Amino acid sequence: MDDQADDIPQGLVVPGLGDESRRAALWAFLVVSVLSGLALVWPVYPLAVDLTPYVFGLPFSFAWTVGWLVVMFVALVLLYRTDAPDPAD
Amino acid sequence: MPEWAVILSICGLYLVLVLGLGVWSGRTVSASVDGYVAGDRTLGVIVLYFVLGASVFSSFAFLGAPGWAYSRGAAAFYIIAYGTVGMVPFYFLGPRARQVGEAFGFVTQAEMLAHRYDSRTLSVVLAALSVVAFVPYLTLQMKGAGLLLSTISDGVVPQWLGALAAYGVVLVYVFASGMMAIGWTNTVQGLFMMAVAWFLGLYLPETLHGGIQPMFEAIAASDKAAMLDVPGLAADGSPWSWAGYSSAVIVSAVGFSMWPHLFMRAFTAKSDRTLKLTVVLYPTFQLFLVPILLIGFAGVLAFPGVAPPDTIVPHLLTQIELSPVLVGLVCAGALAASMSSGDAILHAAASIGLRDGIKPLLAAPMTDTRQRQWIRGLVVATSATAYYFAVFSEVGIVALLLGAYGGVAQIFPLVFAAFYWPRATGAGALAGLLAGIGVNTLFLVAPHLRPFPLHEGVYGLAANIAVFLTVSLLTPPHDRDRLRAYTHSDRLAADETVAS
Repeated sequence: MDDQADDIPQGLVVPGLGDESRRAALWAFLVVSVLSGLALVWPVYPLAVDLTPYVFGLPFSFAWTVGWLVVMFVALVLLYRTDAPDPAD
Repeated sequence: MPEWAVILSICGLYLVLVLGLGVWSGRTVSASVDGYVAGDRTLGVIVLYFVLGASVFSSFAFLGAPGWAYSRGAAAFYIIAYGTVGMVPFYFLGPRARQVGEAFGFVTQAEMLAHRYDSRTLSVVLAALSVVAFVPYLTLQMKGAGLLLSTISDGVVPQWLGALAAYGVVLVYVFASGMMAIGWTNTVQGLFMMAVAWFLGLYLPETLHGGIQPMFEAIAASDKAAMLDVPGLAADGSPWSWAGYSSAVIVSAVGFSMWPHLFMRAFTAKSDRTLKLTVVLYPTFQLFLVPILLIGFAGVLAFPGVAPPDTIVPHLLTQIELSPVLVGLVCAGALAASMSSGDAILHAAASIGLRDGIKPLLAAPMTDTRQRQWIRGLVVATSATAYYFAVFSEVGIVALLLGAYGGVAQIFPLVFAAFYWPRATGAGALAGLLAGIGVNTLFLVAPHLRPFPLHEGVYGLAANIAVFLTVSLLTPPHDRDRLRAYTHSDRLAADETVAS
């Protein structure tokens, strides 16, 4: 990119999308994040609000919320593993 | 020795331990603003993990959250729901902020935004928003500590004295050691409160109901069954609406990583990798909300009618048969929750007050030593103000804090656009922020004007984004040199001038 003053893009700029495997990882992570966000609010969460079955003693609606927390944890671990190591460490 | 004396001695020991650790921890950092506010940018994963965790889980976690489960049932799941995605943006925004912070010497969120958007006004507005959010937050922490110590000692220690003892300790270690004290005390406090939460959350359902599942089955079979119908009950005991629940989750998730005292910890991390790993591990900290809610549910059938519901934990502790040593440890854990948030907020309020509120308004530059003196002065002044509200004033603090959540969420579009939308301008950012805060406040004080029963922060965010986009596109963009550090982190040159 050259340094002309008038080439400031109008849209969003997301670095790191040039690398194909990185792009795939970011997309997959974004999809999981949006899914877990949606799963915890209307209109998806009302489908999962039964008391039964109990999971580890928790009502299903409670376990559902905790379950998505675990899903996000796994997604973050996987994303972290695809990140290039940082030379500062 | 009477039981309360054993309990108080344990709490006293805990306070002495934290005080010693806090003061001792400051010896390794430089005597500079960077050292006092950002710990010389040297924090590793473990300390950062507990700082981010403990700063957020305050006395609300030990008193408020079980109170929600106790009185509002399934509504309390909201607290876990928003945290699930709430920290995720920080994985991306945090390291970018850390890089520009290191290059330009920023130690607060507003400093960074004021530079990116080239606007001192923005910095002062953000400082004002932070202080308006922080003073009630700190006040609630102090009230929590005082309430706990007075309930547990059967009133032998009055509330004013309990709050004074706990926050006297906080004041001394924050004053002496700044960020390092917060880092090290939060690590001990975080471990302690997690242990206590898991112990109580598993022990209480077992001893009162014979297990977690039997406890929920008993509630479902009682006349309180309605509280388990998601989304639970509203504050007045009527069923909460799906619109209210969902929009509260969204606004809180958006605002979660934007709390200025949390966001500014990005500047304390020693590397990008450290910061990312901390965010990755964060959900393991949040899991401790599960036992916290179980504590509240355990009280529903065993001890009906406890008011206000926030006192359910101290109430349970005085009612169940537990050795006073254990009760003492539990109380110390709850104190740890209050103090580990209180110290972070106090430190952030003073740092932000000076760097973003006072410094931009002064014509002459301030020396580093002078700045540290000012920040320490503000630490004392902020403590005194919050203590006044906690002990002497009857102003409705909770309402102010609830309003602040919607307000803090309004910072999100500015931070996001700072790194991902080069076309965003200072005029747009300021106009968007003011529109967002204005609309949020309007619907907070006049909820009947809302077109739909959604959280007021949703309307604020909609207005914020619309105004931000429009004004940005109508005003000329900032020059490339300013933007380069934000949009092209790889191009961050070492010879960039330091922002004043």
